[in-house]
Amino acid sequence: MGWNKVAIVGAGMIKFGELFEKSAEDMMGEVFLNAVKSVDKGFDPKDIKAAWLGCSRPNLFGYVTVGGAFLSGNIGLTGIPVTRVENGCPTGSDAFRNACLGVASGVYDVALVMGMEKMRDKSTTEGLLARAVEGHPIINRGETAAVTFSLIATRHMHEFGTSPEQMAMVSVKNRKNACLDPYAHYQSEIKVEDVLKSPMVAYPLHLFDCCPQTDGAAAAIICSADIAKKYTDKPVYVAGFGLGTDYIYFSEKRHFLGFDATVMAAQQAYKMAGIGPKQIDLAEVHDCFSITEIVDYEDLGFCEKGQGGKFVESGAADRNGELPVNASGGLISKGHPLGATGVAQMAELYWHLRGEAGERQVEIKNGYGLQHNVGGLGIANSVVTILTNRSN
Amino acid sequence: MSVGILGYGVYLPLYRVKKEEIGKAWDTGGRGELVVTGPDEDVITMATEASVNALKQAGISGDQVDAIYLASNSTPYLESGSTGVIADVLHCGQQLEVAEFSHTTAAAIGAWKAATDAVASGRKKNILVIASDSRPAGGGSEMELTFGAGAVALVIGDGQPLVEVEASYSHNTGFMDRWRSPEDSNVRDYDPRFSREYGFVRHVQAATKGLMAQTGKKTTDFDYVVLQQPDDRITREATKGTGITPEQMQPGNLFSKVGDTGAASALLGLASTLDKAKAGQKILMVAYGSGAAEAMSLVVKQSSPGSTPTVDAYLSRGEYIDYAHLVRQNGLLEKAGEVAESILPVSSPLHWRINREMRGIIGKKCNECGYVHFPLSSHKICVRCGHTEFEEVKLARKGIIHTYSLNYYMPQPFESPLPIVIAELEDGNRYVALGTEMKVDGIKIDMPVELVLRKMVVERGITAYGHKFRPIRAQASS
Repeated sequence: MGWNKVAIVGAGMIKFGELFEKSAEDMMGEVFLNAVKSVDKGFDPKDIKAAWLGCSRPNLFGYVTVGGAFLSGNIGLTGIPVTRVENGCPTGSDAFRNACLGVASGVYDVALVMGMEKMRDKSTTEGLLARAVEGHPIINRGETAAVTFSLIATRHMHEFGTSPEQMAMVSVKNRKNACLDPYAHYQSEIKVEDVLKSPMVAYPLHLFDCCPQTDGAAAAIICSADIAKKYTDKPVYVAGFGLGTDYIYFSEKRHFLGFDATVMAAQQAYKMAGIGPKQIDLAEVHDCFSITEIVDYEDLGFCEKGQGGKFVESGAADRNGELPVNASGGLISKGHPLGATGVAQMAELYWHLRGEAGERQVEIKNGYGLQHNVGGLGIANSVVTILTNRSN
Repeated sequence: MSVGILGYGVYLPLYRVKKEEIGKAWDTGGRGELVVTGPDEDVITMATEASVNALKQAGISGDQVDAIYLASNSTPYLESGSTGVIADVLHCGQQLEVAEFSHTTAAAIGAWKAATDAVASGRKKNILVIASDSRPAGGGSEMELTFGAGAVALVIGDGQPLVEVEASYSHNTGFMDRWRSPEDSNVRDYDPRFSREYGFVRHVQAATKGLMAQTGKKTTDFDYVVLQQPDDRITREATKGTGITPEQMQPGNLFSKVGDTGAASALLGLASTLDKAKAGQKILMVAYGSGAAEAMSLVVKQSSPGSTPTVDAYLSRGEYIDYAHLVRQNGLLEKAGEVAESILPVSSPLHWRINREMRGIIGKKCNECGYVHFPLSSHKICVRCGHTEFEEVKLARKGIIHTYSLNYYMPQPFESPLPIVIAELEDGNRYVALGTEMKVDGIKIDMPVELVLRKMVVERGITAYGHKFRPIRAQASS
């Protein structure tokens, strides 16, 4: 039914946070070793024929360009082909997509996907707020990430009556989920009042409506589906994926009620996987801000357009709800080390689909998990990937 | 057909400061108030809005303007003209003559006379004369308690003018009362008790007397008298024994509401008078600055059509700020912390490429599907249908808010909270811009807004300009 040409056979991650004592190289090395160790039947790194590195903003740790050798040279794999991917917030998941295409082509049978971002070597002010002077010097001036998403929040509230309380419920749900996730940056609960009383960052988003600035890394080992059993009896297959690109200028967007890039990516992924939203057991979606998760439910087809606020309010997205969203705690709890996030979501789904997500394990009925990212310049890039524990 | 003012326009900022607020900082008092620029305004942004108003009232478009003569004592540069920015906003052609007049608060009169002569000789058809000032004053000084900000623009042309110049008279001795050298950050004076009498009073009286002798008129022949206004006491001193009455000066007497607007002072008083004057009435105007007095005898040929906001319309809404905000808005008190500097400086070819379309708000319309693209230099291929032929279009400048945000955590040099607005313009196009003059709890979806030229940033000493959305503030009566 699904594409299922590539399988994940190993995954590794480190706890996300403000990892002042770890360098970019330290993080890559650590998660690589974790991924290698995680392979059920053992894994020889020499099996890796190619790698893809997702790292979006190396200027935050002092580099402008890093290139692919930055990965292979640092994890003892010099010589292999490596591409460094940059695609905004979907950097990690697009690195994964490209790796899948590389393996499916038949040229490489085993590949490594590394997602990494080192954001905290710059102060939070300098690091994030420098975006206010990037892009078009007049049209984009003053736009930080929070602003671009808050423009959607304002209009969504106006057209659908979505409330600040409903947005806060996303943060409350995810922070509660993260208490069971040892990899999360924040592992404590908050209440709706805490969110609404926290300082305003970009109207109408408060501090706790926003994900923190975080360092982190995650890695996945993938291989051609027909050799997966060499590494594990429980591989997780890539059932489908999609990448959508939308208009870059905000004046060109067709609406401010969600992200067309997500809709396009999701349509491609569902079609490739041969399933619909109803088959999804769990989803790790992009919640850089609370409003983002609300429109994600709509754009991914979990509920009707405009009903996202009611969806989270009903408990449907809770860990024990009909469609658990962000059982990991999401970006709001884990943070959003840009390049790492997409790969971390793959790892999270990999663990749930194999029944090894520990205390935060959700019920798997159909055998499908969905990951999603959206963002980048103009919030115009989105990747959706559907993973399954069902072989064809 | 005759030469004169075909149309005039004014601009006054929103912000007001009570002089007693300023006085408090220096343990003294103060009466009256001043109009002061906001943090994203300067002489050029004020000049631009006054010009837009003047062209509208004169009924001419930017490409019909042959020359721009700007008079100011506080333009952004000591060398480098600033009229190019204004010309881009107004869509003037490139065969534009430009000149800047300065170094005296009477400079606008020289500009007006030069424009009149150029049109009368047939060399030019329509000349935009602009007076705009926002001069720096030292803390605790008399100038801090008197300097205001504003701009006036006149279209001088050959047609059916509102006002004609009947005669003019100059009295110029180079007297030194106020000055600002490149070493000074503020306008300075030495001995006001001496310079008020021997400077302003005697020069204004000499120019008035000279004009009366030349024309055979008496001051009582005039319906209105407009004087340069460095303060309001000094105009009473200057008019003693001249026959000029407070009633004649009343409509042009703006000092207590606006302050001393330098090169714009006399023309603002004139504009305020013209807002009320009727055909046939006569106006005596005397401008003064740094030992130069310029007197003019004017006749009103038609009353103002009321098609653009009057001085009173701009004065009708004001927002009061305290001394701390005044000092901050004047750039004298900067917030500490990280500064986000633009990646490419204003002198980069990037800015040269985008200036015309950003200042002129010029987009391009796909010849196939009609979709309008902005900015035009970023689109070679239609984003909607893939077609590659376009026609340039000028976007509308008014609209309503479609969505917005307020950015609270801004690094220097941004203001915080910073409004960002996406509006639906009157022509159906969507446009993204920062907001200005917006109160945090006053921004609403569907609120009417208009695009106005403002400073985006000053970096490496160079100012970048762009449009921002402003709530509609001053409307025309008709």
